[in-house]
Amino acid sequence: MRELFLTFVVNDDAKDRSLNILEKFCDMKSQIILQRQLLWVPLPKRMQKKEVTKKPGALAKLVETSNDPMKVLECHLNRLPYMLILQYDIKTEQYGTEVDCDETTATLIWTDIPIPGDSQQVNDRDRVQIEIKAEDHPCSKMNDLKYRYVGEIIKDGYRFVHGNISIDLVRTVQTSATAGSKNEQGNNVPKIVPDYDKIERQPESRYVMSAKIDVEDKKLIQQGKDELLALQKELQGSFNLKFQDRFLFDTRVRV
Amino acid sequence: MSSIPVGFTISLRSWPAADKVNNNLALDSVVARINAERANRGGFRELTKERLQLEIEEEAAEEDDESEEEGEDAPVDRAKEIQATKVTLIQNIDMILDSARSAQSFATLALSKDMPQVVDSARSSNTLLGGEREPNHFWEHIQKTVPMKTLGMDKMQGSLVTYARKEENKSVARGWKIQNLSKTVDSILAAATRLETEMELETKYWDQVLSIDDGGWAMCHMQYEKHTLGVRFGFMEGAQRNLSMAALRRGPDGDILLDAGLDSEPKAIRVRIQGHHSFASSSVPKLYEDGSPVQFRIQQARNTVFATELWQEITREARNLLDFGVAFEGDTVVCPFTPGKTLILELIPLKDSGFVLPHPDNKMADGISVGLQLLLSLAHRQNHHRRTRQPVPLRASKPDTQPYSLIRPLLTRLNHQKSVESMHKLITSTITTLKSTGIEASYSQLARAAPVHPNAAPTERVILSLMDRLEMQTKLQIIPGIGLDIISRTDMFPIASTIHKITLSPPDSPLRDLCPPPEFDIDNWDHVEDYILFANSCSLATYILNLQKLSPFPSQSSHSQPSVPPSFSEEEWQPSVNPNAILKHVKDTGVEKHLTLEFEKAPAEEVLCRARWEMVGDEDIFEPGSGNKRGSENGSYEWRSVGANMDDSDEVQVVVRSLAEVAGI
Repeated sequence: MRELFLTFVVNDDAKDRSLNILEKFCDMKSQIILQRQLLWVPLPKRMQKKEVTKKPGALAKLVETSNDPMKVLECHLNRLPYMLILQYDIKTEQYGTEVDCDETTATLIWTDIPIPGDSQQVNDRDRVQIEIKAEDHPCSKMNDLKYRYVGEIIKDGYRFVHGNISIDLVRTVQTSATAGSKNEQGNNVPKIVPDYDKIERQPESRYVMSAKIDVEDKKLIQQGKDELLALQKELQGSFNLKFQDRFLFDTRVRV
Repeated sequence: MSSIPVGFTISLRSWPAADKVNNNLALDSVVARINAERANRGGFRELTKERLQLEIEEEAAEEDDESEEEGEDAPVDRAKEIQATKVTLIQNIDMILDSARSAQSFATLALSKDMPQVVDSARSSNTLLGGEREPNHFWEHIQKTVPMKTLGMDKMQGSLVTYARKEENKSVARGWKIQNLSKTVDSILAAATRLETEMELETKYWDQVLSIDDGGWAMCHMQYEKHTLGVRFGFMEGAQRNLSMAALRRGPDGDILLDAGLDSEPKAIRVRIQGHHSFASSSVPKLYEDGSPVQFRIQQARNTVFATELWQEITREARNLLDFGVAFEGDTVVCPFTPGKTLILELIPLKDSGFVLPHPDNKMADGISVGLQLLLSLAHRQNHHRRTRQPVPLRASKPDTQPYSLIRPLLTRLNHQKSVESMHKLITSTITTLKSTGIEASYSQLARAAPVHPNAAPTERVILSLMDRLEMQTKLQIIPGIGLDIISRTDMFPIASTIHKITLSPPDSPLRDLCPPPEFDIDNWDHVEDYILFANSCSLATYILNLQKLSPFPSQSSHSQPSVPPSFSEEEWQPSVNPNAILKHVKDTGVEKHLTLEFEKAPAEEVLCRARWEMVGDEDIFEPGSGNKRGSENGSYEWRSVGANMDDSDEVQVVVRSLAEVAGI
């Protein structure tokens, strides 16, 4: 799946005004986003046996024809080392409580570095998103993929929907929670959900607004871009959504 | 410079200007100047208000003294004054002389063209003093500079404007002025009056606009008339979202004129129930004319938009429900309602609504009208959920937009009620019949709760529970150890009809081998009915078999009542090939007695149970001791749900015989 997006930075003190504008623009109340994202990187051993396909266009063909997103993901991961994210939707009531991430449904997210473009366009990148149910043990699955846990990010914010475009206004903070001891599955994911309200934020904390649209059919990519650019024009003056340097979204890691 | 007092210090610098930033005078320089000016009077320190007033009084007293001194010097100055006056007089006389000379020169030059002889005489002129001729220097200068005969003159016609005419013109002008002033005053007064009226009208208009805003209506600029205020009364999730706006124009009397466009006639949905030569009708909202309060008219416009959309969706859905008996008749949609009644839906202008006659079904029609509106509101709510949820990725194939479910829930509900009623009637009749056979059967019916939608709002859950997954559980206990559990479920899709699932209770009851229920769900009511009746028949056969295990063999019955079946002794009933029949062998004969139990539907929703017995075997075998042929012992006995019981002679028997008695147990 391709993800097209534009971003803009909103200062903390402009949050309320931004929410007000977006509520009127999208004709809806904001939806709360509160997510816990566990960061995973590949083990060094993983990259020793690379199964890089030599046929030109084989990966693209696999992406187009395959109905198994995990297969597509593994193909990407075998080419280059990437950081993966296990995302959990949480609630404020879970702050400070113990939650076994291996027994909770999670979403595995992989994003590629956006393709090169210019400021007249939108950021464009591949994305794979797979839901792993609790009974399939998401953290164990990561271990099977030869990945190890390295950190945690909490995302909170608001979401609006305008036609086919999802507009998110989120801020992130990396928790300083230390990794726990290794559990039975061999990973050291901390079991306690951090109390988000007590985490210290940087003084210049800001919200990032991103307008994005997902495209499954390649023939509709231009339609998606047109919709995003039309939104950019409509919000001009209030929010300066723009194309960003693609290396800001680089998830490749050095192993 | 004697008027300048001694010791006056003249400053060549201008008074200091105020500071532009702080608007303060440069205090230092001001104080310095004051100190310099009043150095002999104490400077800035001794500067007070009283001292300044004292100084002013002293100066005034000094001026009075000077004027008195000037009066003493008056005679000395008089001579000088006279002398000065003489000089001035002489100067004026000289000036007059020069003027006269120049006038003469001018006249001479003018006459030089026509009367050249005057040029010579002008060379000399008499003076005013002494009569001696003195040379006219002025004329000599003109002669040198200006050629003669260069200035011409002619006689012009005298002006016709006489003094009288001038006076007349003045009075005319005065009159015009007065008239225009009056006009100006009148126009100003008129403008003031108009302004006052305009203010009243505007105040009235804006009061009404404020009342609309206080009423919670959304106000905005009209799309194509930015200077015109409008009110948005449509539904955010409705079909005509962009068109539901009316301009708030000011009428001639200050009232608001609601301009909602061309097709803004107030309309409403009317629901009628047609029975046997009678019509029940739902109530229709009252029509508010143009003079009514504006909030009522806005509400009426909103209701019209709602009704119009409701009608469009009803007709759109009705095209897909033709198989359910829904039809179009002219401008109405006709749906089947109950046996003998049909439902008629139509969109009517409010002015054509007419009076609603009293009818017992009016409330039902009102309820259906309200139900349709609630269903459309639910559809709007679902549109909102669909619009605000996470968008799906762009795909080539777009999802089909299904029409709203407005009539289908109604049909679903009606079908479900019909099924439940049929089940209730059948089971009740069956129970009554069973009781009249001496069997204490029982049943219960329970409406099962529809599944809860966890994310739905409470209002949505209520409506969904009334139209989605309607279920009824019926438990029939025929005899101890044998029962039926029937779950009847009616779903909106795909066909809005009821399906029944029959299971045995308990699962290991004898019916499992005798007449197991179908494993699949049954959608045909007749099949369900047939199975229930057949299951009852089989249950009675099992009941008789169980009874004879509990009780001793009955004695031989008397023959006083030939209608009572003969008693059987010594032989036992046993199951036969048919699960609803039992048989036993008659001792010392080769004859078998077959007893068949049947449940049947009778007219008037009645259920009857018939026990039919027949002898199967040699017809020449006689009953020992009686001389009667056994072939004459075939017969039947019936139990009915209404209580009357019949024997094979079709005569109503008052005395009820139990099944056990009929079976000879």
